[in-house]
Amino acid sequence: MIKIVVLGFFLFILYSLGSALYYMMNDGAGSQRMMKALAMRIGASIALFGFMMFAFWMGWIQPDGRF
Amino acid sequence: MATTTTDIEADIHHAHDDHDHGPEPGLMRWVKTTNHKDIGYLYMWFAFAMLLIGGAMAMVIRAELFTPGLQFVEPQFFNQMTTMHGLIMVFGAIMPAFVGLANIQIPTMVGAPDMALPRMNNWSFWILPFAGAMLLSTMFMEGGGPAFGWTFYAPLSTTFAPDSTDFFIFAIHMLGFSSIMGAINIIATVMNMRASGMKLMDMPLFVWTWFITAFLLIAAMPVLAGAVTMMLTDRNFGTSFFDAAGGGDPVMFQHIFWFFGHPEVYIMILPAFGIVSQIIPTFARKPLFGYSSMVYATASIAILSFVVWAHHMFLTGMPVAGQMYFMYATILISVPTGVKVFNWVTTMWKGSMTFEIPMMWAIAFVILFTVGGLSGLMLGIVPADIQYHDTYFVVAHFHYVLVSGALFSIIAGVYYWLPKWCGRMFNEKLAKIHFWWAVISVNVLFFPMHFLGLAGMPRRIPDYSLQFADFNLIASLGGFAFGLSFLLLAYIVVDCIRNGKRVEEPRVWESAKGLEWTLPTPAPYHTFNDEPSRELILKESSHTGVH
Amino acid sequence: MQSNEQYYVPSGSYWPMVGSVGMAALLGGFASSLHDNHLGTGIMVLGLGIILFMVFGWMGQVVQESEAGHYNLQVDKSFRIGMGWFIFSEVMFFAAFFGALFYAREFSVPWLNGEGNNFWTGELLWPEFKAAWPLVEMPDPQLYPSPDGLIHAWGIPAINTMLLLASGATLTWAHWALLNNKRDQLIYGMIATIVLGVIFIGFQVAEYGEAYGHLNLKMTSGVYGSTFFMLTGFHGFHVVLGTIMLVVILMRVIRGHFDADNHFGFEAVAWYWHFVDVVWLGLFIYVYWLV
Repeated sequence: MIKIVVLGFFLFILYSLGSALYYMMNDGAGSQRMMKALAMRIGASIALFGFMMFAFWMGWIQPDGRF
Repeated sequence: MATTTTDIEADIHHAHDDHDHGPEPGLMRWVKTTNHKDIGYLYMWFAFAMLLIGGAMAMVIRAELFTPGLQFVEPQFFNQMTTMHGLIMVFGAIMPAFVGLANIQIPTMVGAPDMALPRMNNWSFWILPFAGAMLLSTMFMEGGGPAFGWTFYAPLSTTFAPDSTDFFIFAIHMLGFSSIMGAINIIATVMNMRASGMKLMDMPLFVWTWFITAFLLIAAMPVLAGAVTMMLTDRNFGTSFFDAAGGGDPVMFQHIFWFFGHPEVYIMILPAFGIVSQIIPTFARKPLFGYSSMVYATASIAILSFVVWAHHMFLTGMPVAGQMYFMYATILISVPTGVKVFNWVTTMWKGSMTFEIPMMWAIAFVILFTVGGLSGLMLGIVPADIQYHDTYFVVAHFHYVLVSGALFSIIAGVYYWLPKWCGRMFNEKLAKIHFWWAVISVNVLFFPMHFLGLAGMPRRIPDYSLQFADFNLIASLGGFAFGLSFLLLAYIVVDCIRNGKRVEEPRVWESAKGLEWTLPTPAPYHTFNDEPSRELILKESSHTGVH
Repeated sequence: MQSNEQYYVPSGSYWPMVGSVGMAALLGGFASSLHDNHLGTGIMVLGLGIILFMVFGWMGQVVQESEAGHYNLQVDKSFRIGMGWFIFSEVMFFAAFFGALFYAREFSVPWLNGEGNNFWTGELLWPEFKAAWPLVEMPDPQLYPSPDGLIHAWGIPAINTMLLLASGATLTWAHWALLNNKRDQLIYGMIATIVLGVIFIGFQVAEYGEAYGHLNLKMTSGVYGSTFFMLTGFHGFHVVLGTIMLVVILMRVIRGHFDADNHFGFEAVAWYWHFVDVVWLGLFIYVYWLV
């Protein structure tokens, strides 16, 4: 479940980065769409990081867990 | 302040902008050039030189296989020959030749002044001679050159390879870098330099197929770079990507390699489809049949090429479900490919056909590529592939699609556009001899290999048992004849450039369509300084225009 | 009908040839130095020097032409397409290493333990071997010794994630400033991004020191160490390049280059940084956290 949420977040980040790349190539300098997509990808990245910290704190995920 | 800027502007404008004057005199023209035709010609000559070197290696192979037993070379050297022959032909001859044709033709076909990124274009070419030299230099190093086959499977290329392999790895890095830059340039040219009156679906098919090929290159070449980088660290820095003792897997190398390798084989055939799709309508005097289906078929082939790679690896012990999936996906590719072949045939159907030299090569392409495609279908079927795997049947298959497919289309393209490039006509009588010579000998060379493979002769072995002797003898004779035909080709091309009969009319082939034929002959140094109009583009379209 | 005279086709240039010579020297020298050829190292350093010379010379010329106003919107778009697809090719380069990571974790390591139809592989090759990820006990511990520990995600990597995410935010802040002509905010944003990048590199060096010095986690530590160092190493290399490029852009900004409508150089470097940032996120999730 956690894996799917994380993967979904990551795919969304890749999507917003990819669409920003598309706007960068097509709209030229100062594209507002591109800036929005980039802001979205940073927001989503921070949210994902926060979520992972939260999941760790709740004990839902374990990093490597062996040492 | 404002005046100074304008002064500098004017100054630099005169110093750098290159619209006004012709080529720089002397050798430096070729070193410094940013002109798409110059760079294209360099690519073509480089590819031809590599073709002769790779061909000489093929002659060594065929001489050794002329009769059973070890004749001329050591087995280790024989393996170096098969390896280097493959690498040089793929990365040194076929790919640069296609990039060269793209460089010369695409700006003229989309009504552009030049390629989008001219200085980078120069760099894409000038990396090649260095990379080629580095690759060839491995042959003279201690321990010999790479001898593990052009697919450089681990652990042959990691644990058991000679020191020279590291040079080979960096040569691949450089070739890949050059290909990626070339592909980026083509994408930027098609997307950004196209005449504003030309919509995507107005583009000639050669431009379309190269456009799609460029995406394949950008997606596939970095994966190859990653694969050879892992090879490098496995060899020198103790990583264990491809070593089971550390948890890696040699088969993982094959997966990564073929994830690059399968798109790569389409990189070498899609532009060929484009060339043939330009030539056939010209000499059938009919618009190309099913233009949009051609475009969609090319795109489907490109997408499918990324999901079929493991059909090269049916014998690595993959799960049955994997074999089934990769088999069905592979066979699926025959649908868009079949669409193409039928479209070429229907373009010729009821056309007023004439058989000029480029048309003969194009028809030979259609027939012989179909032979190679059908043997590919046989290889794609898992139970059959278990029999054919690593035999001469595979060798026959990929030589039919790469030699009488890709290489024939390049020769067809050269004959088709050469008069345009140099303003002279080649000797058609000699060219006809060349065609029949090559087309007969190539079949004598490769067709018996089908039988050898079906009978079980393994590839990459310098010796064979006696029952294979007759067919090998025939194949070798065909090989020598086919090799000689390239000396004739060289003579025809040089003779054309130096003494060919002058051609004045812009439309060298009277029924040819396309923007390139509206330019004066020989093509001027700078292409389209004024953008062609929409009316002209539609009138010159090879698929909608009236022939 | 617009005239193609507008498109800037540069005159001939020596830089590509210089770059090719430099590249051949760098890589050829590197290959020779791998085989104890001491001349090789020298040639490699020379090649690196030539490449740096080429990069600064070539880019310097481009900057000069750009500032002189030769590049119209169409040229700008060619550069954008070039940069966009270059970044895509970089994505595919990292995809090869991520692919190796997933393959090792999901296939080759379990198979060595006999999973699926690989019963005899497990029985015959290394019967003692137990599959696990991260792989700490190698199938052949003689060849590939075990590390004493791993890098914990909840430590330097988490801090580094925050640093890089913050740097992405400051860079976007600077980007907005550029579009709205707030030069001071632009410069502060750039400086903040560079500082965060440098701190990131510092932490990464410390982490490598920890791994090699104390944990005995090396490139030779089996396929886990291989993928770990390959992915983080190439990422770190990209961060270093990105930081150098950010510094160059900062200096151009201070000199008054770029405005709201004409700032491809800035965008290209910003883009590179965003790409590196997202790759790190992938590393953090799939290499450090192993979700």
